[in-house]
Amino acid sequence: MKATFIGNCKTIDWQSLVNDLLTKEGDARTFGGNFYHNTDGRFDEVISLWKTAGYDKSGTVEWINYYPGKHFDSSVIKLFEEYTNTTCARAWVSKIRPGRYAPYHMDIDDDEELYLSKGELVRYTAHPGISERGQVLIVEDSLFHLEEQGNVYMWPNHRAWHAGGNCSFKPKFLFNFLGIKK
Amino acid sequence: MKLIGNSSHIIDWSALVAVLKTQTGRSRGSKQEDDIHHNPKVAELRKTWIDAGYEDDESVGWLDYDVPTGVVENISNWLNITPIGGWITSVPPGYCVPWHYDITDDEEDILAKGTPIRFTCHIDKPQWGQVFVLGDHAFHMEEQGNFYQWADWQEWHGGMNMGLTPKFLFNLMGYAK
Repeated sequence: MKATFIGNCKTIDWQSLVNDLLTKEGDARTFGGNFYHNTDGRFDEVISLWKTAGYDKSGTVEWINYYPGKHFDSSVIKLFEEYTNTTCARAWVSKIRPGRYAPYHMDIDDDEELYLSKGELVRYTAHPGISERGQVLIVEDSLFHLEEQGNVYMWPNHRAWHAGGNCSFKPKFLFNFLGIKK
Repeated sequence: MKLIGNSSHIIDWSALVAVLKTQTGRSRGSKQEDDIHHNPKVAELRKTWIDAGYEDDESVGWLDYDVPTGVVENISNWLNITPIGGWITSVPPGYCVPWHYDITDDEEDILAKGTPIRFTCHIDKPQWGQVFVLGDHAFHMEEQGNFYQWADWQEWHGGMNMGLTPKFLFNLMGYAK
């Protein structure tokens, strides 16, 4: 399934957001990093796939997350809610440094049941930075490369398999948004 | 870059890839055993990589494989070129070939004989997450055997593998006949 192009969101100053995050540390996510609970084994499938492929040894699984209210102004979320006519369940900006990967995976959330109890979930990504050659996002059957700054896409479903990688000279940023349909 | 055609009727790429998977390729990148760093162009490129954060980084890594006898000749006949050389590269999951252009020590000799033409061929079956970027175009899930001619033999490119199996690419340079 392919992602659906929603439009170019001009109500958010994406460049200011990226400029602000360039100087911030963020929360690093790595293979084996303790950023999830996995009490019921819901992460096991992805972890097993990565181990089988050798990602536990490559040392290149890394993305850095930035959260509204903690690393950037929450007004961005309000504007994106208005743009997509949804209520935010969860949002974050991810950064992948040159030579790093978020390999093949689906987003699994310890709190997914809570979000689902509030309504139908819809997942969006927006390209906040000026894209460089070699910065790639793949969502199921859609590949994103050299996307225009501000372009917004809706995923085929909120658990779509995806991956991100960067062989360019600059960090790659992605705005991630899990919304609840109104 | 332009699609020349599909070469699967010339070479049994699946059989070749199966053989390659039983071999140990020559390690390239951060763990490269030979020294090519004497070349000023390589030194300049490496500085760009270091400035981008690739220094001492194990993410930079790929494998080179020799091309079996007859493959370069048969493909060159199909393309109607005089071959300069062919090689196969493989990027394992989690590794990359950062953005670069190809540099060779015998560049002057190559150029003295004509203008080289550069090709790449996607020799394995399409595998999700295996990406080759050439200029503005990112190749993903390319049909096995698809053969592309580059706009320039030193066009900038890079390779990534965020999938689950090794990525293979056949590289060829030659002169138009």
